[in-house]
Amino acid sequence: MKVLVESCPDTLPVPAAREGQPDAWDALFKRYQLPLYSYVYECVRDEQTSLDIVQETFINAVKYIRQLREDEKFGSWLFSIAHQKISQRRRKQANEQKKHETFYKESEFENENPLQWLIRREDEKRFMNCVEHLSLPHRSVLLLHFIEEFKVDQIAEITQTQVGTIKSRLFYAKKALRNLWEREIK
Amino acid sequence: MKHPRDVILDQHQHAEPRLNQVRSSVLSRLQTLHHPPNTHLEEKRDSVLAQITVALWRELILPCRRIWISLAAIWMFIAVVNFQMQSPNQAKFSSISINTLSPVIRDQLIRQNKLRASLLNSDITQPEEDEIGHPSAKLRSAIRREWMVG
Repeated sequence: MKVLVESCPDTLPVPAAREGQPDAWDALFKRYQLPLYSYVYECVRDEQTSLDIVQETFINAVKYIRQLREDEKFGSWLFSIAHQKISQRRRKQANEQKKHETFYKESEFENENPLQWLIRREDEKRFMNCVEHLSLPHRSVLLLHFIEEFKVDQIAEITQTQVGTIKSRLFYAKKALRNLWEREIK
Repeated sequence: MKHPRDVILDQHQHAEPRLNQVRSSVLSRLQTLHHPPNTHLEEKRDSVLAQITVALWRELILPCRRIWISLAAIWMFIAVVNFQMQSPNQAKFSSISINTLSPVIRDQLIRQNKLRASLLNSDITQPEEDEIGHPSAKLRSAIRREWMVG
């Protein structure tokens, strides 16, 4: 498994980026471009739109880096910009789907661990198919959880949603994914 | 075995060259997009100055009665002076009637009126001269020359 820069924020050149150093921005963009694109693509399902959103996210990051208070939160801040962009696009297209959410069983959720989700090489495509079949709120939460291993409170910040709702979404997203997965394997 | 993160990222690996293009395009616009931190400092300084001014106003001037009383007194004084200065000639002439004047001034006033009337009458008889040759429209030297020739 790749070592995430997020887990050791000292390596992120955020202070240098704040001063406008191109090398620092280059390093930051390089670090986040693929995770960000993956997240955006899995939400919007369109390559060009995803690239546009990534570009807009980078531009906004450069413009508003001053507003970032804690350097170690750069990753979640960047994803929150992207998430806002996705929401704007979706609002424009008027395709937003709101699904009724019920309360989660915390005990079940607490036992979950992303490392439990290990996929064999031959099952990768199946796994991606299953992810695609999830609803957008569930998919976005699950992707943030898987791609950057963001914690629940970080995902709540990114999506501007309450922590309880995120916990619920994550629980039901995993449950749905597991059901889809079992169906695929059978 | 792979972690979901790796599976997801691998699925989108093909977009890497286009992402590199996006990155380089944003980096090329970096100078125009980035606001230097100095402006932030200036903004901060301005806001600090504004805060100090507001604090001084609230703490020192606003609650101090003496300042407000003295300001009110100054305004009253200015208003009174301004009222008195306002068109004094008109006020005086409207209040004084001709009978209340002293005899000397009254005589002078009557004399001035007569003089003005005679001058006005002489202006009325002037047109004959005007018809002759509009002397006022010519230079004085030219008029003298005409007179000498005549």
